[in-house]
Amino acid sequence: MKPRPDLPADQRALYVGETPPGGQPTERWIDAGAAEAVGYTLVDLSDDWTPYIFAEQTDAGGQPLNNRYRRIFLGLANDQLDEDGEPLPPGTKNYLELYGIFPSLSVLRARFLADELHPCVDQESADALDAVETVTYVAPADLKKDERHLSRIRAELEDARRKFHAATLDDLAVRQPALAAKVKLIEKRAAEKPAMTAVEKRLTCEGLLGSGKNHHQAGVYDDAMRLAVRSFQRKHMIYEANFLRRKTVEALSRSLLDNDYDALVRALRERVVSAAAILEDGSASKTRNLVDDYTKTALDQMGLSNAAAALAFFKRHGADDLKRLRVAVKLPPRPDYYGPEMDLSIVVDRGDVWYDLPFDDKGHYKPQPRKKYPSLTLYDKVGGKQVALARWRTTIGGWRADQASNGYEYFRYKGSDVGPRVIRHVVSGPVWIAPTSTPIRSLVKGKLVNGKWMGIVNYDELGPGFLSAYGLIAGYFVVPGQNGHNDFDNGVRAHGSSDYLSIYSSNGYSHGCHRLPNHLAIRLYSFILKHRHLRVAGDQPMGFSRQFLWKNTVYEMRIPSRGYLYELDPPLPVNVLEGNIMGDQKKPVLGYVPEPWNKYPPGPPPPPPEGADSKAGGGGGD
Amino acid sequence: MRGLSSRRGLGRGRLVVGVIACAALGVVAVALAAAPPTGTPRGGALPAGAPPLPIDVAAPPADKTPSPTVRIVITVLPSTKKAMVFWGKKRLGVIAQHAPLILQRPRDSGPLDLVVKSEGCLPVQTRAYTFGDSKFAVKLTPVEEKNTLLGYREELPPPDAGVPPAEPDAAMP
Repeated sequence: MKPRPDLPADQRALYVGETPPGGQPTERWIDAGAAEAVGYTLVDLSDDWTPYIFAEQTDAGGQPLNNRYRRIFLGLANDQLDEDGEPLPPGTKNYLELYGIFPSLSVLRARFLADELHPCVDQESADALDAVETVTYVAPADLKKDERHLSRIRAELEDARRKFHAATLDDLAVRQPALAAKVKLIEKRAAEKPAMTAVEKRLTCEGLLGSGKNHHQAGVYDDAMRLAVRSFQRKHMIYEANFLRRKTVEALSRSLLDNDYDALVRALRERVVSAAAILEDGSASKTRNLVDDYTKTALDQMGLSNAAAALAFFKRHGADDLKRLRVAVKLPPRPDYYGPEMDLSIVVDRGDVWYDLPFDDKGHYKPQPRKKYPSLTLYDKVGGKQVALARWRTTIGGWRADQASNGYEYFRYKGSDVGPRVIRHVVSGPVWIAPTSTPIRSLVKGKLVNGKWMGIVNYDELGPGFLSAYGLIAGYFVVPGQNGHNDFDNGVRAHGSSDYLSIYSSNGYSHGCHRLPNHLAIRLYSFILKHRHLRVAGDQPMGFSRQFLWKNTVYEMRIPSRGYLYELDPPLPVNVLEGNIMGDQKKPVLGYVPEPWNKYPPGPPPPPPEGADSKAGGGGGD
Repeated sequence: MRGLSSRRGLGRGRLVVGVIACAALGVVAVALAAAPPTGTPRGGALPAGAPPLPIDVAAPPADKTPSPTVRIVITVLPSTKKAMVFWGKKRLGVIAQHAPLILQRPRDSGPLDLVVKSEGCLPVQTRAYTFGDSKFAVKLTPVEEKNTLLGYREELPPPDAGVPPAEPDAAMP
């Protein structure tokens, strides 16, 4: 295509041509509209990119329909604002990929350029980390006990080594297989010491350890270390608890630039998915992974095949370019079943379901194992046949703490409804209106306000925001109203969630809703909105306030908006399958059940509140 | 006008406020120094059939050139009470009897987490938004009426509740 360097940034696109051996790719600006007309897809790398759910929209008359959260989303992605939309303190970074917000290209560019100068790797550390898969967690309070335990085993093995005339412990393990496990333990723990030192060195070099308020004691997995590991996991989108587990240790052993490259691939993946309006990620069919195929194609065409190429790209394209930068790529054709009005539907399979109480009458925990976990599948009906496009782990409801009208917490089964439903409303930046039965303790958090640490309403959980109980986007399940009646809303939604570990946990339950990691929820609903007829209703102002008491202070929850509404017309069919009912209890228990370890006023528990709000939702999530 | 200055928590930007006493109107206003007066019409109509609102917060303006500041009007209920409004360490101003506190803040500068204190009443933590102009009343609850609030926890009876007091002569020999 003809070079058009004369065009303004919003009319042009970057075309990346061949890379001569040992050289830089040839690049030229072309007419973006002309490129699209001949089958190119424009992948938007601009710093003001958002996924479709936060994109700028207009009403039927062309008037802008502003989304309150768009500004904050962009500020978070660009390391400029915090979750409240206030300026981020200088030098602070938002690592929010696990919450569905990927860094902008400018943020990644700065990361690449800084890390080139401070690679943070040395051979000794690399060897130490390569020697282990994980590093055992020992609580600081248990250090002495753990050391005594290991000393006893060492002494026992040394005695055995002498007794059996073994030259080494490895030799002893061969001669005495019964001791092999203890030998392995001692060797593993010995290898973990230098690995821990390497971890400390790496986290300090990355600026994640030693810069906070908490003092770190060398060799100890203390709070400072836990917070540093948590930041590292967030920076590198690692779904693991805050310990030195396999994926975390693997990432710690890679070079900074290699990790930066992975971050770039993740960020570009979301932009390619958005540009191509695709969803199939191999989760429903291993042979249909458009997300990875298209991302690889785009990376290849952009010449971004490795960390060095990415670094060179960022050196060629400065911050000014990244303000508005679209790249023209030729992606493979989408499957024939694609179109503007796809026959989509959702099926939630609840998997194995337990209604029994999770504890006995003495308060002892009763395990409720599940072999089949809940899943959410998006189907497209093609030629009379349902084709699964994506299938992801999700959550169903279970036993949760609920606050009764007497101010005490009880257990209540908060299940996920079964049967046909529809999604009529999809809300981006949704707000969760905490029901009155939400444990009050979860509705207050500490915050530094104008130089003073104080308790405030936990708006993180209410939203809008990536930590909201409804995540960054929610689809509302309702039973359609018949004969002029309103839809019946029982409070169940399928939504993004910041509580990402609950989704993949064997013990993870919601309050009835179906949680997805935020980035998958964004993909799901962006896809649905782009392939169904809809009306953009826009911001839904509301004047909600509620006061509650916590430790002699009244907290006033004030919610100015429900979020930004998209109305699907026709609504999207949903079916929730009952799943396999496990255990003795075959129906959900109604009413409150006292917690065995709690003390209550005399008499039976108060009746639980009725209404949709009280059924789904609750402290700690939905 | 008296100029004051302070630093926001975590050094997040500089706030310069002035306190204006508008005796004729019975209004106390706290405004950004040198900020232009606002004339932004309040938008954000509510859905039909919505219940009366205790608060009023505008929707984001569709107008492409909204004023750079927003106006926040705070009153208390009952309006006969006098209250002080704090923003972290800083005392922002007083809500006098029948006289609101008016704040001006840069538009979209993030929420203000405030504490409203009035003698004999429980302190109230509330939030003001900066999406648009807003007006709201903070309900004050006398300390002795805290049992009317959501979250109040009934006292547990003492461990020996219901056991009749021992007779004076019932002690063991």
